[in-house]
Order: sequence, then structure tokens, then C-alpha cells
Amino acid sequence: MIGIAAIAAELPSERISNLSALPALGISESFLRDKIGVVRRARMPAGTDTSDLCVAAANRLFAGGAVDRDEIRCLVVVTQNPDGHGLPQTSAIVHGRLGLSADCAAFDVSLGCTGYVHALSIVSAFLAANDLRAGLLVTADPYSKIIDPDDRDTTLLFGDAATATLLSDRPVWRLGKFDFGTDATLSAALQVGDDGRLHMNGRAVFNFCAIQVPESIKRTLGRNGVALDQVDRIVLHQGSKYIVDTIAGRLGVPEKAEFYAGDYGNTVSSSIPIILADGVKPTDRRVVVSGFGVGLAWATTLLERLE
Amino acid sequence: MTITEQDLRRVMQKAFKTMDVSAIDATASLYDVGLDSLDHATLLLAVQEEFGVTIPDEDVDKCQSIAAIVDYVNAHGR
Repeated sequence: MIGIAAIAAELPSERISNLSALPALGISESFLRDKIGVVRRARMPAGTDTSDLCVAAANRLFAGGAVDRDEIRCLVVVTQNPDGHGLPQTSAIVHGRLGLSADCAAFDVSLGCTGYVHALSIVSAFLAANDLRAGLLVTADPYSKIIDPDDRDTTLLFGDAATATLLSDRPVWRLGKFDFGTDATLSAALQVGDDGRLHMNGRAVFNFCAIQVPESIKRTLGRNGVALDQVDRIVLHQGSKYIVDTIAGRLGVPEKAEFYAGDYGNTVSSSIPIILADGVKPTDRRVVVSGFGVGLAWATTLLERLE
Repeated sequence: MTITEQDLRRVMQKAFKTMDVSAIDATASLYDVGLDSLDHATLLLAVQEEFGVTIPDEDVDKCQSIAAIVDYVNAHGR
């Protein structure tokens, strides 16, 4: 059985405070703290690129001793902000810099905030279908590359980070059945325009998340034969504090879903594994993870702790 | 279907449990009585779900008070 064996997160040490930007944007501090929730944003150092974050996260994982890098047979990088122009794929660049084996597949997955949950399914299926024992799932989507600092809809939200997840046949977390979906009629609500900058229709994204994500979580629980009161924690993509609170409230379990990203921001596909690495408690045995955003799309599954 | 101001206040109270919705002037701007843009989005989503009306982005500015939302729903509701 393939599942999650270890997770490491790489959060750059540099932080940008949102507080000083508030007057120019016409946003109150109470709105920032109570609704957006992001007080400081993590920023990758000047002169570094997506692959640098990936390599740092992977090396942190290897340093933890969960696996020898020579055992890795599959490397997936989830990003929509690759090095250069995306050719070659960032995963190939990371493969080379990590010194992985020549018989290790390396490919990118172009997904945003759903990317981690989607890629859990992709990597586990890839390993199982090819009788492979260990794969590395890396997330890194530094939105500092595409944010307009004057856009009040997006400039206070996003932080840079990367994570590395080892999937292997010696898992700590068992993957449950998944629920996926896409509403392409809303694709334009979250997209990079011809100006190279991210544009977001906040109301459309909010409505999509508030309506679709609770239903996806309910379907996921049904498929896994688990009731909501049997779940210890719900780890939601950290879009903003308000959307996390809204989804948890509509599910009727505000105590099970928290906003963790106040000191580093919405890190896109890294938001869920950062919490799995450092935020969940040893007593959290059943954890729902749900990503939602770019697409607009959602992806949800149930994780069950084995150790 | 026609809705009343009381119908809307009931939906609003459900969305904002700690707010005394009964004390809000029906013609006052919702922003002047303490709602922000995210609260406004939450209210309009609740209105859409409760009354089966779709409020497109270009009509959001027409829905800035309790009275205005009631009028909008009554003009566009199913």
C-alpha cells in the first residue's frame, strides 16, 4: 500500500509585513487580521527561483532520514510558476540538482491550490501501477512572481514556500478515496492575464468555495464510510481566514478547521502539506484535506494515521 | 415569489448571528452599518441560496441596502 511516509516544508525566512501596506490600499487592520488573516507573507530571497525552493524542501526531507535519495523512482513538481518558461520542466532541473537516480521519472503537474491533493492521487497511482516503492511529491508555486503589488484583491494574500512529501510503501498516512471536480465556467475568476499578473474575481471564488467545498467534503466522507464527527481535523487550503471560517461554519464544525497561515500567507499548493508537516497533532487520526481554487477546481481526500 | 423585508432580515440574522439585524435601517447602506465586502458577499450568497435568485457581479451595486435587496429579489426572483 502506497501512502504518505514523511513531509518537509521549506518556508523562506524573509517576511513582508502587510500592516505597512494597509493605508495605501484603503484596508483596515481589523479587516486584515479578522478576514484576510495574513499579517506577514513569506518571500523567497531575491535571485532565487522555483527550483531553489523545491531543492531546499527535498533536502530537508532527506535530512530527516525518511528515505535515501537513491530510492526515489518518481519526482513530481506541482507548480504553475516554473523556472524559466517551463521547458525543461522544473522537475527535471530539481532531479539533476538533487542527484536523483537516472531511472527516476520526473514530471511537472500544472495545478494551483488543488495541486497537492490531486498529486497525492497521481503519485500514488503512478507508483502502484509501475511496482515502484518510493516517490517524491514537491509543491512550489511562488506567486511573488505574478502578484501586482498595487492590486488590493491579491497583494496581501500570497506567500512563497515549498514542500516535499515522500510517498512510499512504508506509509504513516493511508490515502482514502478522493473527490475531484472542476467548474470551467469560472476559469476566468482566477487567472494570469496578458500582463503576466494574477487577477482574481474575489466574489466568484468565494461563492465557488463556499458552495462546492463543503459538498466535496461530505461526498469524500461518504465514499470512505466515515461520519463528520469521526474526523479529528479538517485541513483546508489556506485561501484566506474568511474562506476557511466560512467553509468550516457551513459544515457546522468551526472547531475542526483552522487558519494557520497568518505568518506566511496563502502558499497555493504548499498550504496543505505545510500544515500536515507541522500543524496537525499526534492525536489527529483522521484528517480531511481539501484543496480548492484555480480552475476553478476542488480536490478532497481522507487521510488516516497508521502509526 | 415575493419576499418581504422581514424575510430578508431573517436570512441576514442567520448569516450574521451576533448582529442585531432588527435595528438596521432598511434604507441604510450595509457598509455604513458595519458590513464589509466579504460580509456583503456572504449576504448575497445567502440571498441567492434562500430565494433562488442569481445576482450577477454587475448588479452587486444595486444590492447595497436591505430595501434594495428586497426590491432586487422581487424584480428578478423566480
